[in-house]
Amino acid sequence: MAHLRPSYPTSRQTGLLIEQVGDDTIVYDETRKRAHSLNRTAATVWRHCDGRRSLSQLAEVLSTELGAATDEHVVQYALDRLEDAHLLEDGASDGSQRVSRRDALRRVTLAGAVIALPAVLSIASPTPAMAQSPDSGVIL
Amino acid sequence: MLSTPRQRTHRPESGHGSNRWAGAFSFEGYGAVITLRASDASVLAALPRVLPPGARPSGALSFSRAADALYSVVATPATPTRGVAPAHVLFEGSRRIAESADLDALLARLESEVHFKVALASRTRLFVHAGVVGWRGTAILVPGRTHTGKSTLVAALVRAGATYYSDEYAVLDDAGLVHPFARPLGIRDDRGRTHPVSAASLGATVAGAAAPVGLVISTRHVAGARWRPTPMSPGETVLALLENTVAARRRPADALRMLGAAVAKARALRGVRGDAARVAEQILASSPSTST
Repeated sequence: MAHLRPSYPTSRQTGLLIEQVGDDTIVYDETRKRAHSLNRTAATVWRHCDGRRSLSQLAEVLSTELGAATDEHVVQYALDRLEDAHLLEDGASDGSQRVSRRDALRRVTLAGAVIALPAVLSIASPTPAMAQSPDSGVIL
Repeated sequence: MLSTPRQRTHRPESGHGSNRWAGAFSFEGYGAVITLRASDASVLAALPRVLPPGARPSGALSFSRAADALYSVVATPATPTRGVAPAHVLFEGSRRIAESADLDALLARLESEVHFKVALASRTRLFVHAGVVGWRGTAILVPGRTHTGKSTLVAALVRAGATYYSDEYAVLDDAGLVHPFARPLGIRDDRGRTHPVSAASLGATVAGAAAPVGLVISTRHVAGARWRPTPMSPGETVLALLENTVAARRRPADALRMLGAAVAKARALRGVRGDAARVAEQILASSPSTST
């Protein structure tokens, strides 16, 4: 199991559009032209990354908000996903501490928690040409 | 056949007072303003057929920057240049975008271009590449780009009793309601060529009013596949629609807001499908009405 060093991650705030859809949070990155869907677990971690909370404090917040026991490994797994999506300030998460999905799942299972693993789905926002059906309505 | 544009003899003149044009007109569709003109009176008379559903004549001709696009059709000269195959030529602004000796093929291309331009430039609606049918008071959306089989599935759904909205665009408003964009369906033959087929010829009723989204289906055709869909979360559903949103980069804030409203009360399924007729029956059988 990876040993996690103290970290005080900060969520990125600029150049983003945010829309809440059900339990999911959609984040549109205006700089990279990418859209991300954060499930509730990932969004909760992201929302509380204020640069002042440690991983253990984030785990406490996560447990409180989701009503289930969780730990720093699950938080770190979320941070890895958020960092991959460029939703954390540079250097907010130490890439050498990455937690595998298997480890995170084991932690959740051991705790008997009924939370979903943090998930961040991403797409590239289509250019108009990508979204066009090139020969729609045309007899060639 | 439409051919790759090449530099040839015809060019549209930038001045709109030129007497080379038989006429021109502007129309407004979903907030976009587009001007069409032709060098030949018979071609000019055929241009209204390329207008999108719901287009209205614009009060005045617009050649200014206020217009979102200017399309010009230069018809084959009565006496073609020796050694040059006759061809009608289509321009967007001063850019040659297609040419063909077959005027119908060129107008079909123009129709596609005009509809896409309206979808991109619309200021009042959000256009998502999707097939749409109505069923029991709600709309079923099948987002997807070309060659994903959405027109085939839409045709199967309307044959099974659904109301026809569109096989090309889901047109969303601020409240997330879907409006009809009922152009003829584009059905591909065995050789991959697309033919326009009226909804009426499929026995379908064309929708006359907007509807809330009841179901979103993210699918593609795989020969022999069984329909075993899995649910999508609201966030996944928004991404599936955003991937097919024409103005996603131009109006991302509007897109997020309108897509969020659209999927708020919708179910969403993802999976590969096989035979369209069979899947259509399964989809409709599993779709409740709004009152239940």
